[in-house]
Amino acid sequence: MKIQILTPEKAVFDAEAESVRVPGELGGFEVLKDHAPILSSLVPGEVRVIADKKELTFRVSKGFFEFSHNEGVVLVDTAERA
Amino acid sequence: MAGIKELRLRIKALKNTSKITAAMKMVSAAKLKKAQDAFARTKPYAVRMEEMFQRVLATLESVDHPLLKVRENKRTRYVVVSSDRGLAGAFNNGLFRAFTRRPADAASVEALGIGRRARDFLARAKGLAPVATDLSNVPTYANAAAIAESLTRDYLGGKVDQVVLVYNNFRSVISQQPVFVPLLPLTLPAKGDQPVAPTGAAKDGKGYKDIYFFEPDAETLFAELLPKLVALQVFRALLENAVGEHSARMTAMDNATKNTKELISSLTLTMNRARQAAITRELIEIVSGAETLKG
Repeated sequence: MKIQILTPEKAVFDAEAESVRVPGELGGFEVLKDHAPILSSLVPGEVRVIADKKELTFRVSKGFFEFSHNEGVVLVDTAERA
Repeated sequence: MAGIKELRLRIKALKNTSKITAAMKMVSAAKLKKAQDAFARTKPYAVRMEEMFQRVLATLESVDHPLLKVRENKRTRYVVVSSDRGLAGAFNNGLFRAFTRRPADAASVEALGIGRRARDFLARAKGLAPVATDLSNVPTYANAAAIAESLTRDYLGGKVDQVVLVYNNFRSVISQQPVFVPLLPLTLPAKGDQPVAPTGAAKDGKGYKDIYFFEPDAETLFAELLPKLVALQVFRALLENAVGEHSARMTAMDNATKNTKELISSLTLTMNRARQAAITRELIEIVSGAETLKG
């Protein structure tokens, strides 16, 4: 599945991934392949992406997460590789 | 006719000027490239944000939010975005002229300048209350968000009933068009008849209310997305302004360089003529002097 982490200024991450964990407003959750479509707001925290069997951590501000048809996108004001 | 010495000095001065304008053109070209790249990088975010918004909007029966409510307009605030520096041709002045000639306002008017040129212009302009501000025109999202927040605060606080962005829209490197974009109250993008297809999905003609999980819920998401749209609009204005400024300056400097080149060549011609005339005169004097001695 494809995961993108986008800020208004640049794409911080844009690649194939095995899973992604995001800090949802109602609690963190992890999304794997074939997850049902979801649209959630995010609270400041960490987004963890597992790609190529490596875990990448990003610190993000408030934002949104959408996942559908094996494409996930994190929209946040700022995101930094932790 | 000006003396040869004066002509030589003028040519030298022009050559220096053309070096400066040519250098400024190169610098502007580099900055333009950077600004355009920055603009392009915001595209994916803006597109996805719009899609997400449409998706939430499509599931809501009716929408209601203070940012959307059209109030009786007693006070309009214009936010004029300009560059900090001049020497960019008619870039800023064209915008200010368009602003001065805007259709008559029904409400009382105040204006806020973003960018030094706009602030200076508004301080001089008649018939409007300039709003003191230390907001800058740096095209970063953080700055755009700060501007959007300040505008939203004044709007929700009832200080103003309408906010209009005034900036140069970048059409091409040689053309920037002044535009008036109503910012607040927010006008919603037209609700598409067709729900926006999730990325990568085939359209199945169904609404997405049934298949999407909304967390916490669509109403909350909607209310949280609205301020992002405001910030994004402001960000866009700042980016358009930055890209336009550099392209206007590049064009202006290119013209200036061409003009100095022309002037230099015409002055060089005049100088050469004057020099030749002087040489000829001297020769005649020598020859006639020699003739006199002979006689």
